[in-house]
Amino acid sequence: MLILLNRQTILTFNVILVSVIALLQSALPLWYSAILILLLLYRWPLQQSSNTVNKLKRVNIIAALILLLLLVSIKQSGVFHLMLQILLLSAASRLVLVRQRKDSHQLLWVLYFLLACCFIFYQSIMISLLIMTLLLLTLCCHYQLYASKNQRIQLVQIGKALLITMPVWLTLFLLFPRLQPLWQIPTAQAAITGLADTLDPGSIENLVQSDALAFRVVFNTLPPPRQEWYWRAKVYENFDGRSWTVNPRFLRAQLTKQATSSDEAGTKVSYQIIAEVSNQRSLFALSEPLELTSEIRPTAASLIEARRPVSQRLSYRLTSTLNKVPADSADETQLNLRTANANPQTRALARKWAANGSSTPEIIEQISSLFRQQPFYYSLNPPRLGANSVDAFLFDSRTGFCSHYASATAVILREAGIAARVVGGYQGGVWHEDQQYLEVRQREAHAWVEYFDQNRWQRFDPTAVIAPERVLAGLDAVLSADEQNQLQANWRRFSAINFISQQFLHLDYYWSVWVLGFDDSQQRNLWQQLKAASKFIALLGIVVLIALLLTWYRYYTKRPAKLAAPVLLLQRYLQKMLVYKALSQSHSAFILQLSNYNPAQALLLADVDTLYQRALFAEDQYAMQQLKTLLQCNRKQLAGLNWPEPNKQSQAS
Amino acid sequence: MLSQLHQVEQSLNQVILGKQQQIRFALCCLLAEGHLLLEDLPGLGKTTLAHALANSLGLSYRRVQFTSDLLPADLTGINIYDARSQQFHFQPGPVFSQVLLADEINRASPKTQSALLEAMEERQVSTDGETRPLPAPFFVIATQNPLFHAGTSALPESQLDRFLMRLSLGFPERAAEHQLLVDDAKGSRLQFLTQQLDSNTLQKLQQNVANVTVSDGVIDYLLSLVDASRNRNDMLPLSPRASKALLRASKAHALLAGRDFTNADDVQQVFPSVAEHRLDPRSSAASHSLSHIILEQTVCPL
Repeated sequence: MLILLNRQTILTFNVILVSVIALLQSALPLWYSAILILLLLYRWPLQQSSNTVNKLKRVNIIAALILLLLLVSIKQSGVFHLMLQILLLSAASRLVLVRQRKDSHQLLWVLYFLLACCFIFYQSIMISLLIMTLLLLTLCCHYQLYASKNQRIQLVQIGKALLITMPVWLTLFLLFPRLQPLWQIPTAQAAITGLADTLDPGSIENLVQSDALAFRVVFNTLPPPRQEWYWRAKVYENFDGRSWTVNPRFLRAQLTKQATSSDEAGTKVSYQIIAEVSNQRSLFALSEPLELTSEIRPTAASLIEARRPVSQRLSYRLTSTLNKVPADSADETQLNLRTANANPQTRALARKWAANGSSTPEIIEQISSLFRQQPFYYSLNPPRLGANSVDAFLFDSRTGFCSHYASATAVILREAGIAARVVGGYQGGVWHEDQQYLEVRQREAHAWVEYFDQNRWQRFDPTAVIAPERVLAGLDAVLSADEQNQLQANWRRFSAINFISQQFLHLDYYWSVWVLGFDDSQQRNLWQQLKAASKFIALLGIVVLIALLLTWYRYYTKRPAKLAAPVLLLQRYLQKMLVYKALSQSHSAFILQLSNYNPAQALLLADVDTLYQRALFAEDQYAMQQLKTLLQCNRKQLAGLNWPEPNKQSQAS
Repeated sequence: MLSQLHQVEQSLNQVILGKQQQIRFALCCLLAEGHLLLEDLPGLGKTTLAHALANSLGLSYRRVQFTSDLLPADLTGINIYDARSQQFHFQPGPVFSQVLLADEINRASPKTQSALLEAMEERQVSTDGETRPLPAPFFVIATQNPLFHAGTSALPESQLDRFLMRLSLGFPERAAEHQLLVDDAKGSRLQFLTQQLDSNTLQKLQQNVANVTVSDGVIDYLLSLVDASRNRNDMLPLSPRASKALLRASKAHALLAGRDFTNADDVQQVFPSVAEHRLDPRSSAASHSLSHIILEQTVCPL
């Protein structure tokens, strides 16, 4: 049957496909998206010329060429992306050629699959809503392709169906086991966000300019005081005189032993972190993490990391003690005593302090007073420093951001013979009292120092000395008005937009906690709660069962009487045709109508009708037997009966 | 016997052109021993139909023009004192006939109307304490004008129920009217009608109607149609009298179609004519909207 697609449907398909291409942008090279769009645009010149066979040939050649290009670039994209690219290619080439309804089968199913694939890349609520809208649009097209022309979408019916499926859907969401992903999302091309493995004097200042969300925290216990909100993410132990880098020991195999659990019980904080996509493994934790969920594992220096780079929003729970971080290996202190052959002035200063025989706390005190007494400034825009960056900062510019202070402090301590390292992470955050969660953005990025004393790594934040408000009230408190403006995007200054975007963020938060964050452990909890309430549930089940039985019984008794034998016989042999019988129409009248449409079988149908009527209305058993034989013998003729399509019928009438 | 009836039908069709359906229903009514209400504008052939029916069936025919001053006694007859024999003699009224055409029944006073309706139902007349049976096939064709109601008393719902069917002849088709005008020159068509049946045969046929088989399925379907009217508030509910009438009409319809069993189509076809004036007494005979609603909304499992 030839049913042409109308312009509107084709346009809708185009819109959906282009949106999918835009959504899957991170899986496609830019040139490929451009080629796909060009291919879609090719539809119009193509439709005006040549016949179907030629068109097919041309599109096939083009698709083959594109496929070749894709295969050549497989190294860049990886197998998973290649699969998506091929799917997109097939959808696009189908859409270029699609003319009639039967062409659109594959297109529809590939579109459904591609839309589902979009969820691999996006989990935020807004994009989810967008994908849902596209899905709805596709469903609409699908429906309209197969529904008869005048049939409108029956909202009440759809509503009822939704109501029925809702409990099933909820149950599946709550109780279906969470399976590990079958493949890993390739992250080779994806841009890394957050703290890098190298800490230059200027890197944190750049990071702070970003308003993007880094992670969110929900405390299960009382939140610790604000001074303790030091979220450790990276530990920088290698120093080359200018910048700090992560020691390769972090890249090696995971730590087998759990970080030595502290004997003395410190304040324990248990919390859940929802980390945004960073495409890195490193995650965030308060000082010493103890109990971890299965998605994450401990690594060196009491840090934690994800099992694979965070390419989707990741939610994990852990408990930390607010103790000092213990040493995790013997050579750790040695590692953190190495000095670079640079910054002679700093070295001289440190040696002088060490020669005085000062203890470690005394040297720390001396560093603090140095920052406090001399004219040091905290600034978002420090001047550029030379090769001996620490010297230039300490004795010349005296203006710097947290990384400068941390870096300088660590160098002084190392030169004085005290093991020290720079820790990168986030400090503080915005606490939302109503929603009870902490929002940590990239602008909260921070660097501080850990030095080894009394067998533990002590935290020392030089920024807290020079700008204590930074720790207590956040970054904005220490910056000048100009610097604040520099941080804020223009639109953020309008309070209404600010408010709306904040509400969206809260919505997004609930979405990630209740929907994305619903994991194995929560599922186990749910099962246990269900178990505890098993008696109640059993009771409820019995009540529901009784209610169902009652409704079924009522339905059963109200149901029309069983159909008579001749009617059943007709139904068996005319099953396909009886679909067209109006409920209020009698079978005889229907057979008459049927014989009008099938003049070749009119005699047979007249015989059937006569026998049927005798069998049914005169309750003639002999006629019943004859009817059975007649129907059986003419089974093939009856199966070949036709009923005109509704549109043809309306034309005829 | 049945073939004679078909001949009657044919000759009636020659007198009233293009109204096969109505003529069949009129015969149906006659066979089912019911009475017929014709609702039409004047001049559409009501009288002709009644007259032709009586003529071709060999029945005695009387026509009464109903007026507001018509008294019950004018209809049923009175006892007249015969001075010679010094006795009262009963002078039978027009109701003592086999086919009675009650023209413009709604013009008469309610008292007169109910006298007729009583006679229709009881098939007997009581005057001065004496009960007299009416002649054996007794068939009333009442007519009323649907448009002009001034000075009329409309038949109440309960009395409309006494009529088995309400029909409307309606305007003839253009071709039929053309034929009518052409033939008019040749003289009245009625005079060509010959008697095809006698009243005895008709009575036998009426008895045959009772012998038509009705399966349980048909009765179930008929009941679900009646039931459908009882669960709604936009129409009057159909009474058991109505369901009896429906069954009798369906059987007569089956007999006219030459079958000895009733099928669902019989019920469906007679339903509008039998039910519409009971569902909504104020509707016009030409509209079958309510009965069609019921027919369309009731599942026919047959």
